[in-house]
Amino acid sequence: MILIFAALILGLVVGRYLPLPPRTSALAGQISTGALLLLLLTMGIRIGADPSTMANIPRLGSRAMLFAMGAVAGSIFAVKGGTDLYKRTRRQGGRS
Amino acid sequence: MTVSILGAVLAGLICGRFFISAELLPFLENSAEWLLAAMLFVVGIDLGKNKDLVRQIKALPKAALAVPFLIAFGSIGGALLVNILLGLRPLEAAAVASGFGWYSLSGVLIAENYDVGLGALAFLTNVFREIIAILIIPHVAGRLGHLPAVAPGGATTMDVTLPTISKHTSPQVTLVAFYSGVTLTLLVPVIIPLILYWAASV
Repeated sequence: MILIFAALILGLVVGRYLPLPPRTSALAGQISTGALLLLLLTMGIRIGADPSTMANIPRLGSRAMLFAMGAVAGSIFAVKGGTDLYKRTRRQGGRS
Repeated sequence: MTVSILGAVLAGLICGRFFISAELLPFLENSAEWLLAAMLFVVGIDLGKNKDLVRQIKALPKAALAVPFLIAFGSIGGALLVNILLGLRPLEAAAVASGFGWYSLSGVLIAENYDVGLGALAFLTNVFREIIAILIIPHVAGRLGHLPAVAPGGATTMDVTLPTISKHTSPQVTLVAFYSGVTLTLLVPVIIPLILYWAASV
């Protein structure tokens, strides 16, 4: 866990303060994509090698759909509520 | 890219199910952690070098700055409500929802640091979130307003869902969406490990 945080922070510092050549961006993109695909392959292997997770895939799918719908609905509700509240507060502030 | 991502997971599933021996798994876990660190190092460089972005974000109205935090709060809250039916540990449900649509990273972070089954759930949940977002953004923009249309995409509003938002809202809301996507993208690798650390310690 510490390794992950340290890598992210080190990257932010390097990107912010070191003068990197323009082609770094393309190279970074390729490294990141390659690492991501390898990671997903590894994740797939670990799921595939775990019989109980494999047996649970159909149940995981329906749970995942419910979680996704809950998260989407909750986020819309929060932004809608937040912006409505902000508009109402501003309107009241304008009147006084 | 989506095809490559789904292809990599599928290839992994097949290899894991039929070809890889159990002795190789600890080695894979160890390499995965270093790969993850390399990937986050590169994500950090990419975010850190965009100096213009900080200036553009500073020029946004103050209220817009709250949008990604409302999205994070609403996503976790919505998942916790659904979890009343599903019965996971609340912190696990919160971790799954904290992918904010970034399925690749959230799945991997949870699989590597906590549990491979929960990682698979996070991966699928956040794949579905991205698909739902692409489908409903136009309707949310038309019926509930432009800012709520930023919400469904979560972290993906800085890339995958940005064109849809741009098409159905205004240029300023598109900038808010981009800022929100970047902020949520930065939050994912911080908030998920924190929640998992908390979940593992209680």
